[in-house]
Amino acid sequence: MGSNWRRNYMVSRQVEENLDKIHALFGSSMDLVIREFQLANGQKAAAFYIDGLVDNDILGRDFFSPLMKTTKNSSTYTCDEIAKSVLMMGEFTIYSSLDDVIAAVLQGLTALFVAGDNHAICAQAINWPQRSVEEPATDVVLRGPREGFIESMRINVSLLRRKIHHPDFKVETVCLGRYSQTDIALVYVDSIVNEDVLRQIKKRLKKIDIDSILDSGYIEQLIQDTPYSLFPTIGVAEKPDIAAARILEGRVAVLIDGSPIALTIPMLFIEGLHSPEDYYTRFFYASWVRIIRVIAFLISIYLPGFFLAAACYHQQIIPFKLLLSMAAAESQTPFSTGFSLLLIGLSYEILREAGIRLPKPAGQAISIVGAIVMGDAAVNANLISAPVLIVLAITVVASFVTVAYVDASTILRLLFLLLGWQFGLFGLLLGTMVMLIYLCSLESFGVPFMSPLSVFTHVEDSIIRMPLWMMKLRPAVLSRNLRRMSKETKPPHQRGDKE
Amino acid sequence: MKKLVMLVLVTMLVCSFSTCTDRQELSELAIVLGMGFDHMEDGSLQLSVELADRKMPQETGESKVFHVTAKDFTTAMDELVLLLDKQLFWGNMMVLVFGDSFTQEQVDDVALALYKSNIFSDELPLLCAEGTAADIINGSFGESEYVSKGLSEAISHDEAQFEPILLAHYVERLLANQASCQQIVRVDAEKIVSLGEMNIHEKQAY
Repeated sequence: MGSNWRRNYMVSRQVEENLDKIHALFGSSMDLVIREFQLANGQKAAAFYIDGLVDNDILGRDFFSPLMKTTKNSSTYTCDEIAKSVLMMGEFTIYSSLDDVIAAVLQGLTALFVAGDNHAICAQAINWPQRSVEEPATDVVLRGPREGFIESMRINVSLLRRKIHHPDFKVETVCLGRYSQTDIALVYVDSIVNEDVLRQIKKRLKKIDIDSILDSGYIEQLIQDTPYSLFPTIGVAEKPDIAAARILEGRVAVLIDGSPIALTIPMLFIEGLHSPEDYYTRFFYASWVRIIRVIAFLISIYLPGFFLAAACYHQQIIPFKLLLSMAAAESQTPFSTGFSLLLIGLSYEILREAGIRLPKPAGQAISIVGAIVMGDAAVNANLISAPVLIVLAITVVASFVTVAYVDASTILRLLFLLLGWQFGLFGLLLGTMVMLIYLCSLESFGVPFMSPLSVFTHVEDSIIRMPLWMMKLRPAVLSRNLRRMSKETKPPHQRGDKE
Repeated sequence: MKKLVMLVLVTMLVCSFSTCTDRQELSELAIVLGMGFDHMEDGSLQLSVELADRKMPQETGESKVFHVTAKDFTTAMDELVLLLDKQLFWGNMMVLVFGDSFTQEQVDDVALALYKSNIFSDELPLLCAEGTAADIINGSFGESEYVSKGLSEAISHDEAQFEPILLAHYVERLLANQASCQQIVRVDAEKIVSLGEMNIHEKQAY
């Protein structure tokens, strides 16, 4: 059959003919349910749905029961009449193409064929297993909303709709994946969105021709600007408040059915250093935390490389006492400083991967073993030196401060480690220059990745966060509607108002 | 793909230009704290170096002293490297001490050579020992003074007047023909208690 199952069939007036075509298409699938019955007026009908995707209670109460009980003066029902006056379900669509009917049923709808009408009704009685809305594992906040996206795209859209009650809030859907037929929603605010970005997203989505879309990661990799980029150029959000905030800045959110992670486009570098909590706490603390994040990000990529550069080439910059203790520690180990750092870094990555993938109890055991083996035994056995272990520990902790760049910082850390080890500070400087040039060349859907840092605009919400009432404008690169609050929003005491 | 090949080529080129030969592993460093020059009776040069003992990084650290004798400075340095089997690290050197007779005869040439070698700090203080430099470069440094204990005592003995001339200043005066060995501050070796001196010319595990 291949990936394209469509045959351009139309719905027949003969119920049996429709069912034969469906049988021919599906074969003997055990979850396919075809129920033939008679309407109250004796007219022949058949319902067709997938077991497990529908709510049998709703189906019995609002679908089959009215169909079998309602009588009518005229001799036959049409689909239109049934939909308008018999069925008690809120959402339905009438199709004349059998292919469309089958596609709808595969999405969880229930189809109804009635004899004598060359149309079919597809009614919504979807009820498949899904998680409840709960706080995601990442993006945990002390202050702010706790709800997170789940795997249902419809629920996710409704979570966003609850945040933005405005008719300009638009949801456009496309269906991608030849086999998976995954629903994908583009969500944006029409009066704010950057239309060029929206147009590009649609264009790139249209080009996708793939068997399946199983997660938002597929879409991210298939539409991003620089496929080989170390840095992500598409943002992710696990919480509706984050996605809503970005949509209200002019971005487009892409929700994928089956994925609890929404994509937000375009992404700016500075976004990775921000947290939603920054906007919920007072500005001076938010600014301080942002500075901490910048420092942590720099530590996460530079510290091992800098340590090696200092230890192997530039011992003059190490304070004398520290130099002595480092030299003492290193003289006990069989490996060179660089190799020790590589070895312990590799061990950490293995332990981390094992800890994440294993079931929770086993993962904890691995963590404990890892901590003891790496933290204590390896030092006591003089396999590695304590300073090397301390450097790795600080680096690893720092890398988790900027969650958005954990992947990028892991690879960059390794590159800078090799540069520092082989070329000292010269290597680090060279690497930094290349990285900066590369970062400045990146774009996210036509928007410079390093803005607003590169153009030094909208600095009130960059490395520092100014008071909320000072951020009157949206970033110019993201939106065509710049003003986000009126001048009167300034708190009264700031104006000297004695009211 | 072309970009990748270019990247590899550029990386290899950079690697070949800046080789890793000057990399010094911490465990292979001999951290020099002070160096002394003495003129021996047979006309040879005795070089005394005080090295921080990296096996004792505690607050009251210790140092070890090594002496080599050779006909000139370059040979003495070569012998020292052979003796220690380590790379000498000069970044923490605190003082250059010249023996009394050495100061009278050779200090100008050596100061100029050391200055030109660029491995020493320009602000390295120069001292002249009343006796021999080996008496002052005598090991066991304290917490606050990372120089030999004997030198520390010598300095603190008359701290108010202790303003040693720096290597760069001395060379500047030398080039202007205004230098004199009298300008190098003299410290009294008689008042120094010698601690932990090592056996001369004996190769020891460092």
